[in-house]
Order: sequence, then structure tokens, then C-alpha cells
Amino acid sequence: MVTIDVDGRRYQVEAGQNLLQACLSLGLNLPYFCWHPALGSVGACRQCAVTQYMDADDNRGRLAMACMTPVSDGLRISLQNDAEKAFRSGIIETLMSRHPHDCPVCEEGGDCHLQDMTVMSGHHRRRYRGAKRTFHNQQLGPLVRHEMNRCITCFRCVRFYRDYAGGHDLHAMGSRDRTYFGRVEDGNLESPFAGNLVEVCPTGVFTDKPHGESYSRKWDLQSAPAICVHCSLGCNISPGARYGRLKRVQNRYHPDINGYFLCDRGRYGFRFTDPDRRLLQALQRTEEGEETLSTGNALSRLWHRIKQADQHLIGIGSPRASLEANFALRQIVGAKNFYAGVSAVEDEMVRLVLQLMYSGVRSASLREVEQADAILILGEDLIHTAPRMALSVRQAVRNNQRRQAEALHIPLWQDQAVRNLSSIALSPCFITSSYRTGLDEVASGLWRNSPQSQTLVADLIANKINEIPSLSKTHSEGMQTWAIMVADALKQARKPLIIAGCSTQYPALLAAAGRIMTALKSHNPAARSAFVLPECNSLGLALLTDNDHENRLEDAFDAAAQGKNHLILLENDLYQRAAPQQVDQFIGQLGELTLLDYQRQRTFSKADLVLPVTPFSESGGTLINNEGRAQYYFAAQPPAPGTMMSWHWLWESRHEARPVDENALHLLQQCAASDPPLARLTELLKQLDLSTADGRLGYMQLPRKSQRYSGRTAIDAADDVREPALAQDAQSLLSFDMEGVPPTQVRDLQLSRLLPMSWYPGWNSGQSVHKFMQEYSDGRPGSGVLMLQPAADHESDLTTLQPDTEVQQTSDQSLTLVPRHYLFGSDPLSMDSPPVASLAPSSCLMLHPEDAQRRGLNPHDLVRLESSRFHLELPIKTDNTLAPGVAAIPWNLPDQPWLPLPQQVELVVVQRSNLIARDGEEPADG
Amino acid sequence: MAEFMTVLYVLLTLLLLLVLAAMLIWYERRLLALWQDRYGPNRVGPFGLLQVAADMIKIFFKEDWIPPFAEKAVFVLAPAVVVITMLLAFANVPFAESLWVSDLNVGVLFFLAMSALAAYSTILAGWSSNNKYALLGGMRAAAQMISYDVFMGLSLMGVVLLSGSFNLREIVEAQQQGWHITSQFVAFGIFMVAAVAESHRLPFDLPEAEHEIIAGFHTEYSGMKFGLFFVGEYLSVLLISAMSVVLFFGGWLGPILPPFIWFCLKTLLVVSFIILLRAAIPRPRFDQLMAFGWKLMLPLALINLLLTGAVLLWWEA
Amino acid sequence: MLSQLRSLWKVFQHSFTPPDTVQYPEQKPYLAPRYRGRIVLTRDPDGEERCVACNLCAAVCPVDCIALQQGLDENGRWQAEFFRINFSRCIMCGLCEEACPTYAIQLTPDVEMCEYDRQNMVYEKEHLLIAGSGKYPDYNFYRVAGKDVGVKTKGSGDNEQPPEDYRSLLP
Repeated sequence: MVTIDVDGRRYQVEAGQNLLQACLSLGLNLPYFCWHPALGSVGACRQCAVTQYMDADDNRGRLAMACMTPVSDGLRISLQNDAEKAFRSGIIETLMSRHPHDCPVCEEGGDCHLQDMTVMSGHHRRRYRGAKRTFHNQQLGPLVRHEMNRCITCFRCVRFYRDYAGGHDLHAMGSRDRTYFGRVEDGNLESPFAGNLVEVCPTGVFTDKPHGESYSRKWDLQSAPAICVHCSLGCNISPGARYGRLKRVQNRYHPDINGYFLCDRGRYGFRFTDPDRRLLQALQRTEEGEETLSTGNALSRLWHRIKQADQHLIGIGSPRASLEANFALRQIVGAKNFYAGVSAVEDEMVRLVLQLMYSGVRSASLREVEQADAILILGEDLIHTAPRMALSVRQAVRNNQRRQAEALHIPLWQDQAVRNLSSIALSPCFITSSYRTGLDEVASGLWRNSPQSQTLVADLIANKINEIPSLSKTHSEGMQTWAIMVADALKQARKPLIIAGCSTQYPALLAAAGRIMTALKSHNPAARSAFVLPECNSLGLALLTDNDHENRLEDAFDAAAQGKNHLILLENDLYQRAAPQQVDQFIGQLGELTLLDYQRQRTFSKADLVLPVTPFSESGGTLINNEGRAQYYFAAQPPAPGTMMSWHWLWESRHEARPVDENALHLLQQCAASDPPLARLTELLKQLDLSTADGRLGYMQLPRKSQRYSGRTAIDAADDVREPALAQDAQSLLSFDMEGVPPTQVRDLQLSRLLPMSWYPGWNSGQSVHKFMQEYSDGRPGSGVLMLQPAADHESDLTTLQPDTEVQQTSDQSLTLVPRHYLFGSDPLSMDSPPVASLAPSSCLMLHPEDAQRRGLNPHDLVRLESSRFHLELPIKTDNTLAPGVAAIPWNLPDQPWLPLPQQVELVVVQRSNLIARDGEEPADG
Repeated sequence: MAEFMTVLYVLLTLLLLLVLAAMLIWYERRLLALWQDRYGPNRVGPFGLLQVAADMIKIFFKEDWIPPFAEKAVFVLAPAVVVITMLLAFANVPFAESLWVSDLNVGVLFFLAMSALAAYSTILAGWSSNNKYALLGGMRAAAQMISYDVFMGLSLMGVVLLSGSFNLREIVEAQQQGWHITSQFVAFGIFMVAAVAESHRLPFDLPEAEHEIIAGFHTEYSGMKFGLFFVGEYLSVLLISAMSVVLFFGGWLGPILPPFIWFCLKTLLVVSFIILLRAAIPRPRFDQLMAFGWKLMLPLALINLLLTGAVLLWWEA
Repeated sequence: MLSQLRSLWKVFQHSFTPPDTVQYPEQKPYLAPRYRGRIVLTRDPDGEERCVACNLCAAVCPVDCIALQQGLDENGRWQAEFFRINFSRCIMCGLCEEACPTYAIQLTPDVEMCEYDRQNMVYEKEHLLIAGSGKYPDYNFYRVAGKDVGVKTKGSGDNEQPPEDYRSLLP
């Protein structure tokens, strides 16, 4: 800690930071543009000028840029003297001299850092009379809109896009005042983090395109602290709703998870919650046809069914439903009739992950991932399976540079200076995969081969680290040297990290990863692991089904065969979990199929009672992320008429005497009490308990609406001029109201992590997040609770995990077919969102050009895949980023049947393409 | 037959008074409008005369709401008290030489007693409403009425001395030679102040000062119960006007015109003056009100009584 | 005390001054063209809707009686998908007119808008939109703004330079 003197007042601040950051964290207002907490300082915009004095006697001082000045003990500065104020307002006046008269039709208006800084600097009248500079815009794809006239040349976009996120297709072009930020030519932005430009850009050059098509101002949005449901990382998001639908999703800062950035699937995948894409009406299907039901009727039918079915009732849970919903279903049907709604192989892998997490290799948060100095990624294409983690890995590989910079006494926030150390090698990062992954360009070693081969090399690495007996005796020389290289790097690292996951659908590789972790753990206690799970609550479902009962999906199929023929299916599509024939057979054996869902998915057409439930935007609940962190998410808006939360349907239907104040938290309480692995949910409950928070909050709730929320008396007036009563959220920390704890008190109350939307007086844009920056120990509302404490009795020896590397007998002609994950495509929820769906690949078979040539196949030929377990016809696409001998198929596209992968397949030509492909060039994808 | 006439006469007086009180509302609104350069109610009926009828109809059809937290019996009773006491006080007002309901020989005392009783109405209303503003209003009313009752009585003693009787008819007849206002001018001033304060009209409407305590003692009242307070207030305006005419302006005495007409004209003038007070003078603070009563009005009343007595003794001697 | 008497006298003198009241339905008062009465939405000189659905009127409305939703036409021009004013709540304060950056919202001298059914006080865009441009006949926001929405091409608006060629590196 050092003491600095600002305008005659003395403050204690953390040493090692820059002055701008120090001032902002003290709550002082100092305008800035080019600085960003994650991107560091470059001193380009000259906006954060302060006067720095030599000593106590100096009364003239000199102007200094706060962002480039390190704090030091006894530093004396002023922010409010005329000199620096005149300088700052001069800078902003110049920046504004050619800014277009666009604010009313700009999506950034009201959420604009430039507006805030202009007001803060006191510039209010344009004196410049010259003509304004203009630019042509570019079409940057369906996600981001470009309006170049508004640019103030702060360079934050390229610094984020290229330097931070590793994108290649956004450039700073031109010279002098013509500097242009865009692509070389029109086209989709390639980076999966392009959406962050919307938040990084301090003005309206890059704006949220889907939101701009039906736009609402920031102050009109009703927001809530929510958790992203599109992958297992559990990034914190702030969805904003108006007129009954979600309008946008923005990042919500969480220091241990997503920090300041989100991936584009999380940002743009929410449109599946639109009322017109969802089930909103309870349905009953009989021989006579479909019949819509009122909520009351639907409830009584559900109750009737549950009562009648009695011993024949089974329930299938869902990895995308909240813990509460799954638990409620389990309570209704009984633990031994509750089955995990995931495919057999996924079930096996998640249980394996659970076992690994219990065994003592600490699971890393994304912040810890960024601190790793040697990383081994096993079989995961992180950009597509856990994109935010890929961004963290990108930061982690620069740790070597950072260490060097520290040795040279360069502060880490001196962004350009640190990046100038580019001659220093990146920190080691090794990747095994079947095809090129998005992180290959920062990897120091790649092992691109079939999953079996990856498993063998992983096993060998474990062997090289700690003499764990290897499974196979015969290894090629290449494999030996590669394994030794990786093992050495991991052994030398201070904070090694192993990343593995479920996307390969190959449990053996995960088991091998477990062997490496065990080997490494005994070598270096600081070693960490990170797992990528299939869905947002995979771990939660696994914990609920982690008992002695036989509760895999296959067991449910067996149960049906034995006559348990009344199924309640929770937020799940069975056709996404098992082969179609198997599911058809299962449903054929069922007498009754009750479905609780919001999506019109494939199983929907087979259900005879459909109850519309609410998606994440309209419900509250708990999700457990890949790290084992249980996080509660809040509804952004009340349930749409006719719908209820899943657990609410189930609970209401019991018709028993139940306590009046039964709510979600009671459910969580019961859940914590009934399952020992979930006992730590009580910690989460403490964070959420309004009654303990009451006194501090002054008996108020946090409002979901902004203080300037408009149109209350007109929104519903078209239907009825009498205003309806406000929806209540009585037991919750948040209210559906404009009134309550003001944002200015949120920091003092340590509720920053629960802020529905970042706003502070004078700071309308997302940059107001500084006002809520506070480091506090875990346990404050919104930080989440780590559920899995490595337990002594779980300390099993992972070396006993035997990777099943039995290589299937392959003929010369057969290929290993592996699933390929796509950021836009492999998540069925976000595929219901038009911007995401428009970027998804079409169904095809990807082959290495050599493999295609050997078989005399051309792109677009239609082939039949033949294996022992399925047949499928698909067009061919050649892709030289695949490992030879491996074929890939986009995983989990909505129209594609579930396939047991990886699998040996043979190809039979069905139809030759009449498109003649020229050499090395592929015809444009139809 | 005489009894029948008395009953008829009582009923007529009652009817007349209530109609007059109602018309007074219209009269006050028109007069206030005149002084404020407006028209006042002029839409319903000729000159807006039926405005009162419209208001009555409205007030009768309003929901007669009793707050669940109120003391129900007292709450209902309170508004009736003020109307009853005011009407009773009218019983001994001589409208003309032979036009009265009862000719009490303690008429002045009866009037004082009745107007003091009216204080219960406001106090009980304020208390039974169970509302802090109503209670504040009730407390103010109690303090104000007790204070001002004291020198109202004292101010009238001069008149009694001069007339040698408590009987109102005899007081009027004693003014054949000259109205008491000439000799008892100070007493008249004190009486007016005290009487306006007793009826808690502006500028002395502190018990219901809407800028400070919403509506004071009748905050919780609505519908006809509120209407009763309203009627009670106008009855008391009528009463103090009639009393000041009887006590200071020679009652029905006057040339040419019939006595009853004289009485009415004089009363109307005093009523107009009370309305002018409302139109022109702002409300004092409560502490000023109290200081004014105890420190100025009371000594003045005592001095007046002393002087009157001394002069009378000297005169008779 | 004297001042009290003086004010009594002064007030009494008003007995002889004529009333200021205008006897409204029979006698119409003069309402200036800028009087704050019923709200209309005007069109720009080209006949297009001036409203760009910027939401500022809704934000500034003290009784929150304006609700609207932005939408885009085929040229990317911002337009109100719906624009609703609940006149049963409106207090005719005129803040929306002041906030409007495009002169779209204007208040007219028409104040006679009573209804027996409160529902009829809810005005939608088609009820509010008039054919003319109201008080500012020549103003067209999109000629001044930097955005190209089919009103003018980039760089041809008022006070604009032609678009820069960012491929040039000339000093």
C-alpha cells in the first residue's frame, strides 16, 4: 500500500497499479478512453490528464497522463484544478469536433462512454464550424454493426480484437485522421469474441446488430444477474428485457470466471427465449387431436397422472435445467425412478470428471487458468466447446512475457511495452486434437491424431512425469519425444494446468487426463485441472444422480421395457441423447409422456401432455459450472402468461398440504439436506437469504429496472388502460421494480456481484463497472459457492483409471469418425437464435483431402457412412485441418440424429457431385 | 295548540337553519370568488345556487367509509356533536321581538356552554380516527378552544353588565338607546376573534391546517360524516354572526323595515365580514395563536370588564 | 395589526374589480400556436415520419405515459414500430417536445380531448401522426446526422466531407 495525495486528500492505494486505475478504484471521476482494465494502458487518448506535483512545495506542477503514471508513495496530484480541466475539455472538444449528430439513432446512446466523458469533461457546445469527416461502413456479419463515422480512434477495438483475443481480420488502416478500423473487405468477423467490441468500443462504432433491429435503450431494460446457459463455464451475464422479451445480453463482471468478456454464443444465443419461438400453452394430445389447456386444468391433469401412475412413474432430468427443477422432479418420482437425461457416454464422462474433481486435483477457475504457465489441452477445441476458457488460455500463454517484463521492472499495465517483448517465447501450451483447434496458433506443441492416439500419448506423458506404468509398451518415436517434451514442460512449470473434457465423447482420453493429473499432483501441489463439460448444469445433474441407484438413460429404457410406462421428461430432447431407433422404441413402450419444456424440439411432437415452462430469462435457479461452482441466476422478467418454472409446475401439482411460503429457496434447502454432495448449497442459501440481508438493505430489494425506466403507464395501455399490479418477487433479493437499493449503495452493501445492470450516476455505459470493483472474500451474494471440496475419503488413486484404448480393428478403408464442435451449431438452445443459426455449418462429412483423394472422392459427393451401429448419408467437404485417417461431422446440429462417436466408419459413394471442384479450391458452400 | 305551534316553529327554524347553512356555502364561495376576481360556482341552477344541492347529492352517495383502525362508535358520534350543539345554541337566539324557540334567562351562558361543548366534536373525532394527523388536529382544537373560551366569556360580561341581564331578549331591548358596539367596541373585537377561533375558521383553522397536518381532525372522514362537520362549521358561522348581532348590534332593532328583516340583514353583514377575514388574513403559527390569546386577548378582556364595571359604578353613583 | 386591517381593506376593494375568469365553453380563450395541448407526431419535408424512436421522450416523461419500440426499415432508418401515448396520464408538460431531437413530437393548441371511456385516451402512432411538418417546416434530421439511411449518401449531408479513402496513406 502506498499513500497518494489527490486534491489535498490522502488516500491509501494498492502499489503497482497506474494512477488512473487507482483514482477510479477510489471512486474518483477521471475521464479516459484508451485504457481498459483488461487491456492495460497505452496513453493514446490523452484524456486522463492530471497535474502532478514534485513535492509539497511545488504549486505549478506539470500535466501527466494518469494511465501512464505508476502510483508511488507520496505522489501528489490534482484532478480538479483549472489547468488539467481545461486540457481535458480541450481534448474532448477535439474528439467531438467531427463526431456525427447521431446520438438519437445510435445504439450506444445512453450506454455510451463518449457521452459520459463529454458530460464529465464539461464540453457542451461545438465551436468547430468545419465540415465533418465521413467514412463508408462495412458489413461485418450478423452480429456486429459498423458505423465508422463515430470513431474517436482510441484503438481499443484492435487492441482487444487482435492483441487480447487473437483475431486476425480487424485492422487499423489508413493514416492521419483517416484511420479506419475494419476488415480488409466486407465479411463476417471471424473471432468468436467479436461481440465484445460492442462493449469495448467507447462509442457507437461497433454496436449490437440483432439488438439494433428491435432496440431499447439501456435505461428501459429490466435486467437481472443471470448465468449463461450455453456452455458449462457459467459466465455471468446481464440479460435485459423489455416488452416481454429479452433484448440483449451483456457481460456481468465476475473476477473468477468471465471477467470483462463473453463469447458470441453467450451474447447472441439468447433468442430462443423469444415468446414466438417458445411453447406458451399447455397441450394435451389424444387420439382425437390436440387440445390446449388452461394452467389450472393442466395442473390437475399432471396431478392426476402422477397419482394414477404411482409405481409406474419415471422421470428423466436434464443437464440444462436448474438444480431446483431436477430436484423437484426427483422428489416427485422418487430417487430410484429418476434418470439422468444424458447419453450413456456423456454420463460416464461426467461421472469420471466428478471422480477426478473429488480426488484432489483442484479445479481451476478461469482466473486461475490465466495464471497457468504451462498448459496441456487434451482433445478439446476450446474455442468451440468452452470459448471463454480459450480466451483465458490465450492470456495464460503470455505469462512468460509477463514474467520477463516483471524482471525488467516494467509494470504489467504498460501494455505496449510488455507486448514489445514478443521475442520472448510464449509459455508452453500443448494441444492434442483430431483437427485444428482455434488455439493451435499459440501452441508450442501439437498432437493431431485420432482420439486413440491422443489417449496413448496422454498416457505416456503421465508415465514420463511420474513413472506411472504405461498401458502400452510400444510407442512410436515421435510419440516418445512429444510426450517427453510435454512432461518436461509440465514438470518445470510453477503452475501447470491440464484441460480435458467431454467433447471427444471418448472416456479413455479423460481417464488418461486423470492419470496425468494424478502424476502431476504429487509432483507439484500447485497443479490445476480444468474440465469442459457438455452443458450448463451437467455437473449439477451428475451430483443429483450420484447415488447407488441405476439411473443412466439406458436404465430408463430398461425400466420402460419392464412396464414403468409413465414418463415425466424435464426440459430435454431425447433424440439428442440416444439413437433415434432406441428413443422411438422407448417412447413406443410408454403409456404417457409428460414433457416440461419451452422449446419445440423433436421429442415435443411425441409428448401427450406438454407443460410450458420458463427459460432462464424468466426463472430463478442454481447451476453448477465446470469448476463445481454453484451459482444462482435470477429471472430478468416474470414468467410469460401461461408458463411457470419447471419446479413450480411439479410442486404445484402435488396438491398436498404445503407451507404457504414455499419457494425456490426452500427447495434448495431440501436439496442441500437430502444430498450430502450438495450440502454446501446451504452456503449459497446464506448468500440469497433476504431475511439475513434485510437489515443491511433497509428492508429494500435490488431493483431490476433502472431508475429511469420509461413508459410504465403506457406499455400495457393498448390492452387495458388500467395499469396492472407489479409482478412480485417477494422472497428474492431482487424486485421487479424501479425502487429499492440505489446503485450508489450497492458497493457499500457488497452486493456488486448481484447488480442487475452496471450503472452509476455520471457513468451510464458499461464502464461504470469500476464503481463496483471490489475485492471481497467469497461468500458475498453473487460470488457463487464451490460445491466440490476434495475430500480425504475420496482421495482415490487415479492411476487405477484404466483408459480403454482398445483400438478397434480397422480395415484400410475405414476412418475414425469424430464429433466436431461448433461455437455456432453444437448448442441446440442457441441454434434457436437466428443470429447464431445463420452462422452455423451445414451437416456434412469432413475429410482430409488426402483421404478423399485416396478414395476418389470429390467435395459435395454424397456418401453413405457405414458402421456397425449406424448408417447416414452426407455430402463431403474436404478439410486439410483434420488429422489424416480422421473424419469429422458437426456435432449436435438440430436436424442431425444422435450418433455414437467416435466410431470406425466406411464410406460408400451414393451420388457424385456435378459441381467440378477446381484444384485446391472449394466451391462456395451452398 | 301552543305546543303544536312551538313544535312547528322548532321544525321551521331547524329547516331554515340547515338550508341557510347550506346556502352559506354557496354564498361564501361566491364571495371569495368575488374578492379573488373569479365567478365562483355559477353553472348549476340560477347563479349556481343549485351547486349546493349537487354537492349534497354527491356527498350522500359517497362511500360512507369507516377506517378499520378507528374507534367506531366515537368516530360515528363525533360529527353529530357539533351539529347538535350548534342547533341547540340557536334555540335561544331571538330573531325578532317575539320570534324565538325558548327565552332562557341564562341565554348568554347557554350559548357559551354550547359552543364549549362543540369542542368535544373535534377532540373526539381527532382521537377516534387513530391517525397521527387527526390526533394532532384534535389536540390543537382542544388547546385552542379552551384558551379562547376563557376570554370569549369575559368579553361578554361587559355587555351583560350594561344590560343587567343574561337574557338575550333583554340584552337586545337594552340597546334601544344605543347599540353596545359603541360602548363595548373592544369587547366586540375580542368576541369576534374568539368566536372565529371557536368555530376554527380561517385565519384560526389550525386544527385542520391542510398545509401542515393534511386535514387535521377530519382527515379520515368522508361522505356525509364529513358533510356534518361542514354543516356544523357553517352553522357556527351563522351562530356567531347572529350572536354578535344580538349582543352588539341591537338585534332586530331598526327603523322602517320589519324587525326580522333587520336581524337578517345585520347577520348577513357580519357573515360577510367573517368571510372577508378568511379571504384576507393568513393563518398564524400555533404558538402565535396561543400567545395572542393568552397574552393579548385575555388581559384586554379583563381590562375591558374592569373599566366597564368601574364606569357603571361611577355612573350609578 | 395594521397590515391585517390594510389587507382586509385591499381585499374588500376587489369587490369592485371585474373577474378575470374566461367562461370557457361559451367563450374560447386564445391559445397561442406554441400552447402545450394535444401531442402530434410530424413528418419531415419529404413526407417521412420524423420520429426516429430514440426513446428520449419516453425517458423524460415525468408520468411515464409514452411507450414505443424502435424498428428498422429496409434502408436502416430508425422508425417507431409502435408509439403509444396514454393521454389519461399525460400532464401536457411539453418535456417530450423539448427532448425530441428531430422535432417529431410537437404540442398543439388543441386541449379539448375528453372521453367517457378512458381506453379512448390511449393514442397509437396512427392517431398521433399528422401529414405536415408542424412548427419547423424545413428540418430533416437525417440530413444533419452522420448515418446513411437512404435520405442522403455518406458525405453528402449538411456540413459533411466526402467519405475518406482509408486505403490512402498520403499525409
